[in-house]
Amino acid sequence: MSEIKQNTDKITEIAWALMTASVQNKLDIPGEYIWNIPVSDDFNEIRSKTWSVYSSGNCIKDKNLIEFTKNVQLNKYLLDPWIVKRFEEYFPSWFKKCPRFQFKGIDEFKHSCFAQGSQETFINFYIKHRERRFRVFKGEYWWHMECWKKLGMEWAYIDEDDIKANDVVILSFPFARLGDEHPQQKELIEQCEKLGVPVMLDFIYLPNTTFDNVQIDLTPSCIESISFSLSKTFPIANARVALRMTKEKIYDPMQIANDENVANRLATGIGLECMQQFDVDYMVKIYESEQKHWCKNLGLTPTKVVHFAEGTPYTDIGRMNSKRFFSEFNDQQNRYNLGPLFANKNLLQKMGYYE
Amino acid sequence: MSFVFKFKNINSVNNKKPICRIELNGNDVYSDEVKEHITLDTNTQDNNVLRIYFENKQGKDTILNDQQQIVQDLNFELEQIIIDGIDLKHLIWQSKYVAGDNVIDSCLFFGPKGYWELKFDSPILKWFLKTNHNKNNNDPTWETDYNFYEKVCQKLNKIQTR
Repeated sequence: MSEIKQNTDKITEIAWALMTASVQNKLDIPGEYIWNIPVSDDFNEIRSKTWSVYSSGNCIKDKNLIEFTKNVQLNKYLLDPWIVKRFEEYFPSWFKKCPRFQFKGIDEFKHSCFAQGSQETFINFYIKHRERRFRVFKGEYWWHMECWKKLGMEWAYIDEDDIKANDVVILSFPFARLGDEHPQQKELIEQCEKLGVPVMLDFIYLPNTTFDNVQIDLTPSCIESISFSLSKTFPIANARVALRMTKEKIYDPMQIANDENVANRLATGIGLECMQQFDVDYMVKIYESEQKHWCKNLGLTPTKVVHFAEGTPYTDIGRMNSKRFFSEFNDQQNRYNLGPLFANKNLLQKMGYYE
Repeated sequence: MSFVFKFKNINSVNNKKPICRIELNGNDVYSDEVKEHITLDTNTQDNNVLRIYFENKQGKDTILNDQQQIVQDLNFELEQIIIDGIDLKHLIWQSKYVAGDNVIDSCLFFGPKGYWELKFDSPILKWFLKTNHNKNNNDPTWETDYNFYEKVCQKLNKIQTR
């Protein structure tokens, strides 16, 4: 089998095209984060933004979804005391409707709690286990390590030390850096089960996975909580729509706020309407062929997450250790987010990049 | 090509104001009082010589006290040049000031009668990046990145704003 040859020049040129088009207001879908929008047409300003074009994990800016969300009437939810509960009940059933996902043991996770983004779930997990040592694989979402470092919490990468009884583990599935199951996932969960180490599974990228049939075994008792989010699925990341499911009810700040009925009704309202309108694997259905197209075009390898590809870093400067995006713990330099290419297909076609 | 010149510390003597003449490739493009901002449009070539002449300085425009210290002087300073939207920043120091037989490198102060000179190439961005790297050795990818930028700009010029 011939090895895929990465077209780094083309990858870089497209990054320049997108950021220069952004300044000239020519993108099909404008950027939504200030770190990815050049604020002037200064060469060096555009250049610095080209380094992060593919670096995020953010969702695909799908036009249909953007149009849909623009028309959602949110104000009515402010006065709807039951919207959060409806959201919490609908989310699991919406997910289970997709025949490709088989969650063994999910019925044990009886307690659903709305979260303002996965980050709120994580923060509450940190609080609950603040006396333990946090463990993650290298390449996990850098935000954890950044928070632990800033808060002075104990933590270590899994490959730096054995799992000990006083540890607690967070693991994304699919794994954040790889867009696929971490090769040591099974072994890790077995170890945690043996030692009674609590585990949180982060399913943020799961809706966008292209697995034909994924079996997720949630029966090990160490798996204490599972985290879902719509942030990487629908372009509503800044509405902060997520859900935590646990076997036991956890009385932490997030749950107490939910019980008080003061959770964010606007977020749950828009989340519920998106779920009612779009299937969990909507993005996969629309964009799997685009992922294959761009990977072939650019010499990248598709991952199991539809908007990710794997390759070697396209810019030495932008991804040098000293310039890791946002955090020294950001080790996702081999992961390419293809979302900006999907979202700007018309422009890239006109410019001759979509062959 | 658009030029913006910014001058500061413009000092008059006895109501006499400094006058400058700006010359590009031997052609006068401005000749008048020195103002804080001077903007103009003119054509450039591949290789260019920009000169700013201090036109009206005379010996009597420098007034000394009994201790031979200067108490008043007709003079001004160049602060900034922007060509086609590119601020030359520190590269304006890649220039010289010629006053008779004296050639002073990197001098933005217009004291003696003479002229300030800067040589630059078009396109100005390419010259800026190249000169900056030659001077500071801090931008090894300037040419590759410039070529990407130029290429995408040409393609984008054919596409309407959204």
